[in-house]
Amino acid sequence: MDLAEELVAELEIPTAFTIPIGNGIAINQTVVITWCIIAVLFVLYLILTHGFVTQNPGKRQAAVESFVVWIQNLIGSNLNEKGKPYLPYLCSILVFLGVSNIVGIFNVPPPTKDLRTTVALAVMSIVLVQAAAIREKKVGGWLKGFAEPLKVMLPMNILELFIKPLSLCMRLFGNIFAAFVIMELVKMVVPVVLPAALCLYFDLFDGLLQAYVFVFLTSLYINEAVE
Amino acid sequence: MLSFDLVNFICMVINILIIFLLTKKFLFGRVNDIIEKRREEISDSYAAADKVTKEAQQTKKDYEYNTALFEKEKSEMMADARKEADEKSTAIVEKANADAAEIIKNAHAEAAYIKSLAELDRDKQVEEVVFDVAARLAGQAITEEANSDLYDKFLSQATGRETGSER
Repeated sequence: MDLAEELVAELEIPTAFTIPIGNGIAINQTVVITWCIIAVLFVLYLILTHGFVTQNPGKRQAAVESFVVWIQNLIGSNLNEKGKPYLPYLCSILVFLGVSNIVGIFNVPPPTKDLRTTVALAVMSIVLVQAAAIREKKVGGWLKGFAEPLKVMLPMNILELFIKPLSLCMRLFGNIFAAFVIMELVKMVVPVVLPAALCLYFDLFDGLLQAYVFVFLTSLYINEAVE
Repeated sequence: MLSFDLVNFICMVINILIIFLLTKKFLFGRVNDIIEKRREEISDSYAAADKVTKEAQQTKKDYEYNTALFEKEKSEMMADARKEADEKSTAIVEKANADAAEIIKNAHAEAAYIKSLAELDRDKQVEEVVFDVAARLAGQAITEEANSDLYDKFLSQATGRETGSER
């Protein structure tokens, strides 16, 4: 097997199992990994937030509170007042993307390496942005918004409706995909030492950075939509 | 590698929704709830502290008011007592003066009475002397010399008595 075939094989998303309904519904590895992430996050939430008190909090509670307040301030500072109701969604996405992008450290394929994950995230974000616009401006105002600032901008604005989610998902997918490809190539060429060092950048720093960029851009789109 | 199928896409959408709900409820919800509760407790503590401070200030004000009232009542009572004492002392002095005046008056009256008695007694003695002299004159021959002696004797007796009574 040459290098290209080996790389393609690494990038394939295998089917984890098939649900025997009709011709069989194939559930791929990404979905299963995401279930595992959900389960781990749920257990972590329960452990970390167990026995919270209002007075004299312990170190665990203080750390969790600091983390949550920090994340809310980090994302909240990008949102205007009308965008604040969408803060929980953005924070949740940041946590999920952060965890998804850094699971590569544990030799688990990151869910964001799968195009379905980034497309799902991008579609959900744009649905949220448009829903925020409709909620704020009502349907009439939202439709009129496509002809602003000039009517001639109508086609561009309609195109933007698809360009924004596409750019969101492709940016995230491209970065994680590229990081995965580079890491696989480096592992093939230099199997020891170097992958460990590069892993810190691609899996940890770049993963978290891309998670923040995704959420930051979504918050900008929400701001724009509710203005 | 870049394949896309609707089933797994929908699964991912559902997964993301589940993550959103779990994170919102069990992480951000719980933490925000506890922060909100703490904020309420702090607000309540501040409110309670304010209430206690106001009550303390009210108590202090009441105390100062009561103290002032007490001082006022004390001053009034002292003034009343002093006035009453003055009135009583004045009455006592006046009564004493009146009594003294009465006693002096009585004393004067008694003295006058004693004096009058003394005068009466002297007159009586003069009468007795006169009677005595008259009786002697009636018993003796009256001569020029005897007359003169009697006269002198009478005068000396009378004078002697007066001097004695004055003493």
